[in-house]
Amino acid sequence: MKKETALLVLGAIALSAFLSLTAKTGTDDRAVNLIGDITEGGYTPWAEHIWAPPESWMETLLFSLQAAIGAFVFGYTLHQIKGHDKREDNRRKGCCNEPPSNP
Amino acid sequence: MHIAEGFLPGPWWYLWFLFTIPVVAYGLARIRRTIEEDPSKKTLLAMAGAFIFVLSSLKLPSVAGSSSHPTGTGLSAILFGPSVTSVLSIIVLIYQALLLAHGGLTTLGANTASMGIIGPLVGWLTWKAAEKTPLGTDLSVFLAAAAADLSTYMVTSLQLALAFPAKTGGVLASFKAFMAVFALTQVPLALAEGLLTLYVMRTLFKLGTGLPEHLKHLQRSAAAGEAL
Repeated sequence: MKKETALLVLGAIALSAFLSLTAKTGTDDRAVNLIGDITEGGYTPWAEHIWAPPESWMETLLFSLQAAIGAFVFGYTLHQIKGHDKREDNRRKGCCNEPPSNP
Repeated sequence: MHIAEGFLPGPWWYLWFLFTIPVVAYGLARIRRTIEEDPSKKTLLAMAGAFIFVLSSLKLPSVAGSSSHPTGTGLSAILFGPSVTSVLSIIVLIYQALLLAHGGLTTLGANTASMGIIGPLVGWLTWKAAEKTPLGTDLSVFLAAAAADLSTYMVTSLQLALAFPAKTGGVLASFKAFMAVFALTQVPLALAEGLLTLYVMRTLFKLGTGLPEHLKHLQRSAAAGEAL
């Protein structure tokens, strides 16, 4: 199961890195352009990002990190739930193997 | 699908905060109560949050040369309802606003309202309604997740249209224009998200343990089906 979790994390990182490298203009940017069209360029955003990834590879890295954190927690919790299941099964088996005490 | 930093003028940005804050506060209280009643629920909560984390990191390039990403909120909506989902979503939205310049802090209220509250609410209502029909559990899960995803983007379009009505045609014309930006990429994504959510839910139904009370009967019926 640990192997599965590792694979899941690696897969998510690879997929997310690949996607953010290949993706061009996002729909968010197109929405921003549309705001420019509707207001005929009359709108300037009133707030700026406090911080933005200075390089595109950093953005890719942070997107991948998000995917990795998620995939790791997801794999780990699934493992926990499965483990809990097995413990329950064993407990039930344990209980039912005992001969019923008929007075 | 997130509204970019600074792109919602007053009063809209703070009106959406006023809408969002009480729901997130209620969601936090529900999470606390859920964990107090049954500490093992922490695992399932973390899993639902992790699902949102992974799915909203997947920026998918699509036919129109634009990119978009799934929301992943359908799973959490079915398992825990919309208010808990709003808490899980706002964590992801803060991560993306601070570290990825994706979305923004001034638009956090609006983005949480669409992705964390109204989208999951639609998904949850879809689940509640579909579950009572003879559609079956699988189709109900699929529909709920797809509905949560699609309605998120409809709300984003509406939020932008309200803030930026077109000179001719007003809010409605703007809404249609923003919908056109999102719809093309989001319909296939919503279907993919529906399938992925279905896969995870089937796994959970099979495992059974730790499911919330309102889903327990589905676990039992699945087990009965296997026994037959």
